[in-house]
Amino acid sequence: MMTSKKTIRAFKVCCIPIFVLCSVLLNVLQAQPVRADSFTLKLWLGDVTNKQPIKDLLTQFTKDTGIQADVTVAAQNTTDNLSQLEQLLATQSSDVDVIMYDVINPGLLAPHLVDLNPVIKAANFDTTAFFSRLFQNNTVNGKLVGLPWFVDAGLLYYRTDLLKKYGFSAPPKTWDELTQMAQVIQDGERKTGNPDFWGYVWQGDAYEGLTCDALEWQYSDGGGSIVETNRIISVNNPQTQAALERAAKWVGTISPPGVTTYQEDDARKVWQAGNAAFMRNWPYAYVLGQGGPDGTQETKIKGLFDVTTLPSGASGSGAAALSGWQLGVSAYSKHPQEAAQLLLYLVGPMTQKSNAINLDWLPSDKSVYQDKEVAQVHPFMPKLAGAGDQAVPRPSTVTGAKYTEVSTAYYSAVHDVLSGKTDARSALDDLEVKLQNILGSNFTIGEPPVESTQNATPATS
Amino acid sequence: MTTFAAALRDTARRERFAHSTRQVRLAFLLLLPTFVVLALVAVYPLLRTFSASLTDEQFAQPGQTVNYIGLSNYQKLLSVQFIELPADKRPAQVLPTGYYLFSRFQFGEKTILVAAADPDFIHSLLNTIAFAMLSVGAEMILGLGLAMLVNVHFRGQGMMRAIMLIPWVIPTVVSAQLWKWILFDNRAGLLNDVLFRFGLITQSYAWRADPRLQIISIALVDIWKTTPYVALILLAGLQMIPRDLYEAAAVDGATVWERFTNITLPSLRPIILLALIFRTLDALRAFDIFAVLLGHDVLSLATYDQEKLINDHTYGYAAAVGVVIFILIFVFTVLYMTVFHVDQEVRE
Repeated sequence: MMTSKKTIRAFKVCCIPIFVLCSVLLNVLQAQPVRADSFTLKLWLGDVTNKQPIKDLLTQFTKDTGIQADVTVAAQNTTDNLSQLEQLLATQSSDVDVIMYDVINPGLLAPHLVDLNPVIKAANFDTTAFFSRLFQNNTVNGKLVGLPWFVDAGLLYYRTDLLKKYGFSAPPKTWDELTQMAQVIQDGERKTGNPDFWGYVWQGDAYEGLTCDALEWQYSDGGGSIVETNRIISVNNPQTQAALERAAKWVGTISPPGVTTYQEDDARKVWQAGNAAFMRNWPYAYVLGQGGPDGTQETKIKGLFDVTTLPSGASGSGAAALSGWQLGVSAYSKHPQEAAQLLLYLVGPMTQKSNAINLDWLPSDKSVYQDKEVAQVHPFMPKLAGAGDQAVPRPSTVTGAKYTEVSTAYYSAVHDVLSGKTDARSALDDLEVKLQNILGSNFTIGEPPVESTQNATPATS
Repeated sequence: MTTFAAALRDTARRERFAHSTRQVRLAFLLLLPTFVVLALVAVYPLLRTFSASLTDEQFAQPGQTVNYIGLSNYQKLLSVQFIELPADKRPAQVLPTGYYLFSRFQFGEKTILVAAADPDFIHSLLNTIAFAMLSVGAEMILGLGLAMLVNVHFRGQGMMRAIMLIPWVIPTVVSAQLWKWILFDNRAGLLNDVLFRFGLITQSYAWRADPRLQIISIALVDIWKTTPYVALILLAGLQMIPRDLYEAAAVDGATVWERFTNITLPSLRPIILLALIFRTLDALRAFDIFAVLLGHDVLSLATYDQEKLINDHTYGYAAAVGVVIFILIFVFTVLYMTVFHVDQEVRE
């Protein structure tokens, strides 16, 4: 008995080192030979819902060059995405090599990004086809911190079948027309048994997206662009007040009361379920509404909608907020050469064409709009060739590092008006003081430039 | 430290250990890693936050100059003024520099403006307190009921207690995301759909958008999540009450209600206090539930703090907010201790 117990114990004790040894051996055998120069470039991806086409591009890049590359998944929400990125860069992390960032952030991220001018020169990369406004936007103190990957502009989505059903021959040209048409269609659809139907959905949550939507409303009314390029805080004017009052009236009438919690995808889901007549959204919603690139998206509106420019206001023309994403190389990348190579590949015309077809991204390279294949898949795209040069930029260049605070103050004020917490007049009074305090004495309070009233450039032509 | 050592030595002497000094030294040695870790992860960040709250330090800006600015951060956070609004003027014309409109009310004929140097902070403070009172209050009452229910012997009691805990086990961010879908503002949202089907509503409610429903909605989510946890704590207390007390009271003719108020509640007092402190502490620093369900629209102290730090890059100011949360929790704890006479209990 004693011996057998002892044997068992001895066996147990032996088991542990044997087990450890085995697992170590197994690991060693399984491990692939590690080359000293083997590495994987990491692409920090921003606000991208459908990541597969990008992954496919990276696979192609690896096939062509032998350099491994992969995506790093970041937060969906634009604001969260940026703060994650900032914290990563503040620690000088080499975890990301190529960074995709929003059109409003070159100034903020410039210290963490590599100057691309020498790279372009060395590679003989042709930049003449890019929208010049985006190119200027990405140049901070003579340093080119990014190349535009794609542009975005606000669009009006409308249901062709419902317009026809209720006797409208064309999409609305003005906000008042839109309000009236939305009301008619909504009333009709509700009567025929869809209590969930709404006339118009858009982005009303308190976040950066609301800054875009509201800028479009006020700019199209001749209310200027919040802070003008000549350092004038122009937001407190009657045109802007009227624009906000109009939007506040939509909430609960032609737009759901919950629209004040909607971001892009919330609006898209209502729209895609066939529960809205109009939607303001970015181009990405087009392909998804048609069933997605592989036809697996659940949609009730396939073939039943089209896009057009946003309606015009009191100024006589419409306005679309300029958005879009840039690619830059992190200053802390361990492989800046290869990262730059990847960047140039990603902004190249062939890649942009593939993104235009698969992801609905508006190219930052003008030549891609003329491509026949692109036009075949997306008949709407050639119509938007002027978007990048004509859309309205948010006041991020003039406010620089203070932009986040300016935008937060702006969308908070707009949101308070939309949700009925305050009236437009008081909100703008308050906002004006707040912006002055944020921006300091280099900025003065004034009126929006007159040309924005008479000559607001339409987003598309 | 010295008193702790003395206490150890005291115990050692009383227990008549042979090598008390050597053992004390050993004890110290063994405890040292814990002290070091505590100093690193608890004491240092706390002191750092306190000291940063007195400066204008910026977030994620290496190489900046940091200035000591005394209590200015706190002054800005807590300044509130009442100003009379003349009939012919707009609020913006009478507000002092650095003040923003927080709210207004009628006082007889006069319109009084409430101005604050940082109205967002005052809003977040009030939101947090409203959320804490609503959720903790309901959780205590429901939790006590639930605890008494599962304290009764029945088949599958153990299973029931385990199942009960499921809402509490799910990470708040995940369950808040789940509730975001449940609370969706049309019939794609489960809550609206269910209420529709039962004919309780004819029009969908925007649970997260309607200012009257926002705090109630997230309090509901918190109650769903944390009631089982409160119930579990209270259950432990219930099981410590000797059964003969109830039997004796029943023999003396006490009704169920009398037994509850004279035996259950007094015996549970320390446990209720414990649950109250835990829950209030959690509710006052609620972050995830606010961040996911209400975003920037309705801020809690914690989400406001995060916004000041991440969006505005004002590290010093955000630190001051953190200290205010700390003090607020401290005040609540002391308040509970006084109300529930805990020190008395200990002396007894």
